[in-house]
Amino acid sequence: MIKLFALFTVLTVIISTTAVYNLKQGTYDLEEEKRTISSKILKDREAIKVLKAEMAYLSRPERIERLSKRHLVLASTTNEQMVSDVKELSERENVQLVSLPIDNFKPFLPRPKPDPSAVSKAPIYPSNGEQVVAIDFDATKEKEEVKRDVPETLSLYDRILAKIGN
Amino acid sequence: MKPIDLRVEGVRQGAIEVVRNRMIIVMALFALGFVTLSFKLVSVGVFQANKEIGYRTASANNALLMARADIVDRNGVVLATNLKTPSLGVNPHKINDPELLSYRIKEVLPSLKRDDILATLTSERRHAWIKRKLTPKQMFEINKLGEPGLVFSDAEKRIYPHGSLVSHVLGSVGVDNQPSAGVELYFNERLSDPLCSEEPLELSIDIRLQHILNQELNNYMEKFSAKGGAGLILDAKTGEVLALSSLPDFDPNENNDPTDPSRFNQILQGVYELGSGFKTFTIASGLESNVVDLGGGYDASKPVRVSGFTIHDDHAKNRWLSVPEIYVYSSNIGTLKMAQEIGVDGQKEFFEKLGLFRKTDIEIHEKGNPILPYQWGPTELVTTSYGHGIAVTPLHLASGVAAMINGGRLNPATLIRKDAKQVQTVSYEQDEFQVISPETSEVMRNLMHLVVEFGTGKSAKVDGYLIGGKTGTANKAAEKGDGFRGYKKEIISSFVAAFPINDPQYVIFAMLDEPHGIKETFNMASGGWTAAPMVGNIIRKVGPLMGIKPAQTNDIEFEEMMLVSGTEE
Repeated sequence: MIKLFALFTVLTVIISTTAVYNLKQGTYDLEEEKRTISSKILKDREAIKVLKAEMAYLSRPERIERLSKRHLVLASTTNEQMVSDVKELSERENVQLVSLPIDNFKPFLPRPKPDPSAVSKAPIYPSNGEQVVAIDFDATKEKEEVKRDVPETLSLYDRILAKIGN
Repeated sequence: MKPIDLRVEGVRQGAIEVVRNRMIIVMALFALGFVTLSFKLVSVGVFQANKEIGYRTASANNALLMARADIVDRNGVVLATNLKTPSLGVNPHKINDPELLSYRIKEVLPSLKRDDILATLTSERRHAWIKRKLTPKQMFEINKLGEPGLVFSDAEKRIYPHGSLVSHVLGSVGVDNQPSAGVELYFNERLSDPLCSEEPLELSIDIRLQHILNQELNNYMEKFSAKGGAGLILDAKTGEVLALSSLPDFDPNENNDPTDPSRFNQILQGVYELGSGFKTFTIASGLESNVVDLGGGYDASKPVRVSGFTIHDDHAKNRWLSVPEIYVYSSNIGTLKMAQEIGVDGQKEFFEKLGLFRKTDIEIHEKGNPILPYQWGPTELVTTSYGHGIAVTPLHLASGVAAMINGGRLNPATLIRKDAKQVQTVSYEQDEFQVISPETSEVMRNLMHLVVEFGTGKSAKVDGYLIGGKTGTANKAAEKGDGFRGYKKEIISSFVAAFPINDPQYVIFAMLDEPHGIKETFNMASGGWTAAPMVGNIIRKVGPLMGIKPAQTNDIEFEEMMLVSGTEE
């Protein structure tokens, strides 16, 4: 009887000790994990603060204005570009705004300013579509004479006619 | 295995019994000991360990909680924040070659004197500061020196990303984050409260409007070579300050001297005799108390003598003027005659109601106290009616005008964003009250609109927007050193506007201190020539930005009450 009791006691002690140790170790590990995570959170918060401050610094209105002037073909909006109501734009009765116009018109979206010093990548073709031939001095002279005959103030229609007629 | 049943009989049996009993006692004692031990083990493992670890994490959190809360504008743009910045200290006992090291530190930190560095490096103390709050780049350079005696420790530094743009509202803090002015000082308790260091303080300022105001003030100050300039944009309905600028300004990132003259806030601290803007109040008071109605008018054909002073009109018409004409042509004579009918008591009561006799309620400690006449006799009655002999801050005038046009409610100006959803931990005064009736307010809106359409404020006109305003030009009062009493030649030109005037959203005030006329303005420097076009420009930019839609029609009320043709000079 005593032996059984002793055995039971010893077993209980061993089991409970192991269990408590495991539990303690487990908690400790979790605590450790929690500590690293919270220190990471602190670091991240710190980083977020720095980034926010940097964002505020980089998006100073004065800087944005300067950059937009330099890089974009956009000017400030004027009130003439705004209407108080869509109906003002059209005479029709049942006018509805389907979508914001800006989404459908690429030219309205911000785009970079063309660089005046940039060289065009498009190949240079003879603009009038004629074939390039070896320069015949007399022929070029003749052509120049023909051009001189056409006054510069002709309308587009007249110019086309002059070209076809020849 | 079967246990052997061993039995001893006779005398020895008793002895064995005794031994067995004793062993049981010993074993029981051992068992008790083990049980106690395991209990202790359990209690240590479960309770105390947790306590210890919990304490450590709590103290780690505290480091961040001690920081000062951020300040953001109404759209959440950071205006002031804290960043960890390293400070360079030294343990002089660990330095081997202070002479050489001082040269190398001087190279990295050119703002320091080499002699000072050397003195620090050779001092007897265990720890001494070389320089506090270094930039990350400087820290990198110092680390590159590889000197073990140099130590860094982190400290919080207040950073203002927008530099001088919002300086007069924010104020600044010193080396140890002790506030010295502005919102930083007023809300110091809230900002340094560890419990709400995570929640930023939301101001009513809109950084975009602030930029527009600042830019235009800068342009016009330069154009008219003015000594200073100041401006204010108020939300007409709530009294929120959307932009507040006073030039010259300062950069709060640099630890300025608090006595620096650029720290003076002209909008809140400066008290000026603001001139004709006050006619708005006199006329509103007259209409409100039924002393005169819109059909009435006064004879302004000749200058008036009051207690030995002769009072002229700047834009004299030399004829009988109706009430709208008095306001539109800014007639001193007409206004003072109206004030004489209102009487001293009526006028004082009205000014008192507008809060002109006390400091404003705005959340900044540096506020100017209005300068009032010593006694309120017949002379003071007439001069105060057109804004002379009484000096108030521009904010007094702007919030008063806001009350005149928003339906008659006086909202105390505030720098804190008013928003029902946002629970701000700071309380602001919210005791708006009715100063004039909505009907009188409607009339005042139309009168201010007339000023911009036909009167002294024509240059503030912006196509598409309905604007109301009033110009103000006042000579500066002589100061002590000037050697004479009365007024100097230098003027303060101001313009206070409200737009869109049919449903006022914004009240804009702008003033220039000592502007000089230029060719373009025919050498004129009065409010209508200098401040009004500036406000027009501000509206031109603010309107589209804030999505104010242009008016479809320009309805002008009371036009028939004015003799427009033939009176233009």
